[in-house]
Amino acid sequence: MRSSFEPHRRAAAWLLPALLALTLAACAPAAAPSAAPPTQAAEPPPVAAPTQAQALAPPTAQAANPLPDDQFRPSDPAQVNLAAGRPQFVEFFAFW
Amino acid sequence: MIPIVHGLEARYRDRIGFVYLDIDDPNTAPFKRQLGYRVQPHFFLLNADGEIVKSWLGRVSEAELEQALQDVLQ
Repeated sequence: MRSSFEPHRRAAAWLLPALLALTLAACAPAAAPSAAPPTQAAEPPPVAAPTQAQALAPPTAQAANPLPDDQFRPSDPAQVNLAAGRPQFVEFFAFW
Repeated sequence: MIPIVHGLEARYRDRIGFVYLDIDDPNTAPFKRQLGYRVQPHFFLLNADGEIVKSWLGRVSEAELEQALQDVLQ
């Protein structure tokens, strides 16, 4: 006597493997990388190191144009003479 | 104030000395006492003998500073 569950068993016989195959395919690792190596980001050109002449530039160098803010240099107190024989403009400031 | 003072320095540096003293530098303490520094920014215009002609406390307009420089040169 054939069981009423026989068709279901046959369906399950091929359905389960199919589902298993699909699951394995979905969980499979990503495709292998291409043979060409990944392009590396272009390295920035090396920054030229400051020359010794630049590093040793005298702080009292006079420029025709106003110094930009990033080149503001305070006066050396040891070199300051308030009675210099000519008018002077003195500014007390703070870097903060 | 730095751009303003630097602009004046570029125009008057041959006739007026410009001195920038860092209040956090302990070596500027004698100048603070001598001129009567209070708080920064504090500006002083000195004559050739080092006497205070004019002083400003806080921000000052470029026009006012320049007028004072011209007056001291006269």
